[in-house]
Amino acid sequence: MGTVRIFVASSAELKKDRDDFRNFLSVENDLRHEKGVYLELVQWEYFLDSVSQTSKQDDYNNMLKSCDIVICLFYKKAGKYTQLEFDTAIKQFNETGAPLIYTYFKEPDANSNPAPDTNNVAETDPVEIENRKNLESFKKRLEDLKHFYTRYTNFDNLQNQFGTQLKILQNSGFGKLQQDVRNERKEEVTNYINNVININTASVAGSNNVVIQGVTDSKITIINNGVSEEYKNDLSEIKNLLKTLALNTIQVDGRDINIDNVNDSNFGFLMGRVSKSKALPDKLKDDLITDSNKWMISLQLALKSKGISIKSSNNKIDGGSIFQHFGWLIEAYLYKINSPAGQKPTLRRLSFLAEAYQSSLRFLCFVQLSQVLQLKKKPDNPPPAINEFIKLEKSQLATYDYSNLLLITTDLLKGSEPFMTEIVKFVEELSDTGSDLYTTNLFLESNRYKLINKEIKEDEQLPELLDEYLTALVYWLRKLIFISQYKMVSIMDIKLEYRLGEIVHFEHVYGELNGAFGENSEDDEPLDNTATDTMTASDTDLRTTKSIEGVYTFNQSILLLKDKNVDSGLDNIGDPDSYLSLSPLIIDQSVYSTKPKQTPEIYFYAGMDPLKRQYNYNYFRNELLVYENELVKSNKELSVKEINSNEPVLDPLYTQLDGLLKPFKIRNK
Amino acid sequence: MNLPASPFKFLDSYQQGDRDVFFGRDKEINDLYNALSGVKQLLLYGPSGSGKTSLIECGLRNQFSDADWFALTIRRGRNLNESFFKTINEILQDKIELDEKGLPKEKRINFGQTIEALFSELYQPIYLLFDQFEELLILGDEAEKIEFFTRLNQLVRFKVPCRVILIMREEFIGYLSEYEYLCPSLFQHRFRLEKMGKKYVKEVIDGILTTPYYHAFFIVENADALSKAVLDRMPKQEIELAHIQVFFGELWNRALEQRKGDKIPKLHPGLIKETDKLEEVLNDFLKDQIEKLKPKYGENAPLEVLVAMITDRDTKLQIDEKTLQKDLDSKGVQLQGYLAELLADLTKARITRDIKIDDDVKYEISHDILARVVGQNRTQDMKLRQEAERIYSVIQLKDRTSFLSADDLKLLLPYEKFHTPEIKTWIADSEKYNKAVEQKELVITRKRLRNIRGLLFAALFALVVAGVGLWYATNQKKIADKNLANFKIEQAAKDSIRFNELYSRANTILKEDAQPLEILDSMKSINFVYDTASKMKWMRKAIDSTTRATESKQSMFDSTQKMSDLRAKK
Repeated sequence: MGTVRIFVASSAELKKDRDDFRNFLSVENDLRHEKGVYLELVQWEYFLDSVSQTSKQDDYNNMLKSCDIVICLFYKKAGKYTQLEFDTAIKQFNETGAPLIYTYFKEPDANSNPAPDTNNVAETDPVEIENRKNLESFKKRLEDLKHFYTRYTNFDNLQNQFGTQLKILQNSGFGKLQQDVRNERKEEVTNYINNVININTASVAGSNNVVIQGVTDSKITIINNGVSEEYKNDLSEIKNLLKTLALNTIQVDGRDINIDNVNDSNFGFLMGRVSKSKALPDKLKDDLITDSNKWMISLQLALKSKGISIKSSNNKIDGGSIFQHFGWLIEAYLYKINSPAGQKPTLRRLSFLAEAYQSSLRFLCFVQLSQVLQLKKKPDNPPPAINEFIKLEKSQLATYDYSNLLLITTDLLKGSEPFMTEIVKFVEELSDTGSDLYTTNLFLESNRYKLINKEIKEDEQLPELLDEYLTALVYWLRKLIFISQYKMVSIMDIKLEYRLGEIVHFEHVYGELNGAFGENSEDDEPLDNTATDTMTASDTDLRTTKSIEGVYTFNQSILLLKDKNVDSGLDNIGDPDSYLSLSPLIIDQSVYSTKPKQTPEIYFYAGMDPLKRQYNYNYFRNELLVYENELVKSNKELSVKEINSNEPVLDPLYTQLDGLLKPFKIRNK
Repeated sequence: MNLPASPFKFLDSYQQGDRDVFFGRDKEINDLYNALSGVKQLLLYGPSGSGKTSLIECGLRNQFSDADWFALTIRRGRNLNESFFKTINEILQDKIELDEKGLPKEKRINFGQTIEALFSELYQPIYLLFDQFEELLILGDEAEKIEFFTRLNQLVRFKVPCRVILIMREEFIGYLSEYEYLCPSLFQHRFRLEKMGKKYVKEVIDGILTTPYYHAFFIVENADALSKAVLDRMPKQEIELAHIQVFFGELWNRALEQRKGDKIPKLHPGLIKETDKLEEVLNDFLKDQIEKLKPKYGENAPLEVLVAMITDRDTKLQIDEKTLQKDLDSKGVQLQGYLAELLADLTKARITRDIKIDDDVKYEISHDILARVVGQNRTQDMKLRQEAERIYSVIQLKDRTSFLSADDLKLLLPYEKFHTPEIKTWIADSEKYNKAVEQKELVITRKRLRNIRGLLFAALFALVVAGVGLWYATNQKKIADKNLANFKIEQAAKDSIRFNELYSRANTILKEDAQPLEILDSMKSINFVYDTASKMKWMRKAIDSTTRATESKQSMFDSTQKMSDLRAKK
């Protein structure tokens, strides 16, 4: 069976019990070691409510995650940080099945330790009063979960109770015990997490916090400075409450939301994050994708339904031919998933899956935002969400809520003809909290969040999570299959061709991802004069200049064409509704180089640094940081300043950004 | 007792895992990454030993996620085009059918299609590193080069995530220009790696002495002083990174010798000798190793073997054992012991390395810079032989059935001791031939001389006769000229009389209102043979005035006739 790591934590007042417990385990080890079981005691001296929330918090969490059993001993107090760590342990258990948590409250009877003095000096001491109040509050919450804590009167009592647990451990085996406990307590734990944990998180995060604790069809439970209140499930009520409190943010599912960003289009969506399960929908769970090829076949079939046939040779699926139809931002991660590094069952693979999801949302947001930025009539009061997006800080980028931004921007575009009409229907379905799409979004989002916060371990549970995440991602991408009807192209330059007596033409020098700019192969012969019908699509795409009569698009821009084919898409640019410029939200760094470049290099908007007067871009292949003490050296950023001494060609980009974004910026008060 | 292996890279290039000990090139790594950004084909060049391969394999490599990088290093081998297809086909597990040359049987499969097939297996962007690219230019024939650059151009423009880096020594850059028409992007994107300046060498030395990576291998006493002592041994100009690596290897050896028992070796300033020179370290190393091998293999053999592994431009060659043996035999090199053992010892000493190409094992010198040092260490005899070979290569362009000229023979004279039997035979035959030709020419010359003498005499006689004849002819001409002149004068006088008669008659006729047309014609036809212009002028004037008068008369007559006709009509 091996080693069972036991973490014992208590406040200082129970030091003796803790020491006695250590001795007890030592004796138990002597008894059990011949049976191949070793109980390793990992002792934490104090609960962290007595120390500041600095690096020790991380140490505690890491220690916790490495243990199999956590024993928490309470007596006279249960401070807010203690509760926070308890909640961390519960969440960890919920996700991974470990550690098993045993909570013991010391309640001495008349014959043993004196009961807490509630009628004496302690009655008047505000600290004691507060401690008692917190303890009772904590106990009451745990009482609702019955199984979570046990009372003990003295150490012998504790020893007997825990000894019983150890016997179960020995007889059943730790793995089975763990799974049994997990199954038994799943509902209570889920309820606890959904209804309780946010309270603790909120109350610790700061004062004056308003937290959505629970949501039903008719009611919303809000914790306002630790006090639980119920309101009608109605946006206006919430807004009134905040107005009364002179606040403009509300915490939903661990995220602060500016109430001005909430309207009828996303209110239900956000509230659902509190009330709905974040597990994979059963429909998907029953049909998990476990085969490395099955997921590509699924996408291939989805493309076929959109009129895109993917040829395969020698019964081998060509992933590249499939992925290229999902747009540059997404296909980068789809390739990574299939790379040797991505095929191992590691957190890295999970990060590639998660980024494929995130980049799909990002892409949709850019499509919508580009239209918003280009509206002839700018909104008089642009939603703060756009200002927040514009002013994203580097630390915020990884966890930025693109789902919500998508809803907000789609709502803003109501009343105008959307470029990508399919997004409207997609958002409608996404906003329906009863839909599988919504639940899948919750699953993808929450696990991505946990990954970033290092809450997911590389253990025996990970492979299953990977399969679930892949299944969810494929479902998600199938819903987004309409993206395949659009093609991106980078316009490097537009040259005027106009001579006396001729019709004006505009020669567009363009490039596609991994292709070459402006190489005209009309005069080229294949090396051996092979007939053209045996050439691949890549051969016939060599011609990357297009002379168009009378019309031009945007220079140094990434265009999204309303066409499956770049060549025919460019033929149609006489119709201004046939393309959308995604720049400057997505840019091609190659077109800004002083030296002529051969192929596009893609960056996307990643926020700004107002103090430095600088806009930031991230490389489209950047990866998430998933391991401790690890830097992803390959991640690249591009800064666009007002004056770019090393690359002066970026100066106009800054001017463009400033001009386009200014109407949507809100001054900080 | 086995000595611990040196922790230093020596002449090996730095790889991905060596990032923690790869110092002094941070700026170049960043610059190279930026140079490669947005580019599908890059030319990376620099002096040999500047660390081009390390910059890519370690520096650049660590700039990319392993999900975004799959690099293949391709050397020319027998033929660069074949090597390309064979290398990739190995990874594809022979999915592409190749012919006996190693080229795809299906003609439509070019570089682009091959990389596309590779990408569809790996899903990682491909980086093709054509290392020692100058080998194509030095050793390849024209057809190979044309084919390669044509295919390269196709690959650059193919829509597949693949970047090509051509890595070569800068002294061969010029050879590329004649192929630029086949691949116009050849020079468009290039990156020059310079040797390290003193500032960066210091960074390297300080890095080596302080990095935790090496703590398990040695301790450092007085790092600052040691660093300074090493820098003082550096030449004023730049230096190749390889020298520093080798020098530290040498310091390590000295430290090992000094250590007591099994203690960890200590690097300290005292290890540096006054005679140490960084730029000479490779030379010293090579000489040292050769000296160690001489007792076992013979005086000349080790160096001869190494020289056989380099071209006449001191670049590396890949050569198998059989070819080496043949070369030694042809040069008459006395090898004690077995060649295979010598090669193994050279490899162990890290002077050479063995590589598998196709099914053969070949050997090459471990580093460009060492190849250059080998070249510099050629003995006088070797240099002469090298020069002889160069001359042979020129001369052998001649038709073998023809003979060497005297000039050729003169050129070959100093290299007599290196002549192969074939050359010797050719020389002997040529000498015989030339001698026979000489004799023949002598006979012909004598005969010619005789003929010339005869001709000269005849010419002289003819000259005399001609002289006499000339005098007579001249004299006769004078007489004839005189007679002619007299005749002309007489004739002119007669013509003048006749002319005057005609003129007078013409005027008479004119007075009588008739037209002296026939007379005019006669006047004109008289052939004046005058020698003075003034008389001819007078004659011409007379004709003109008579013509005018005649025309006037004719005109008057015409008018009169017209009036008569009009009167008649009325």
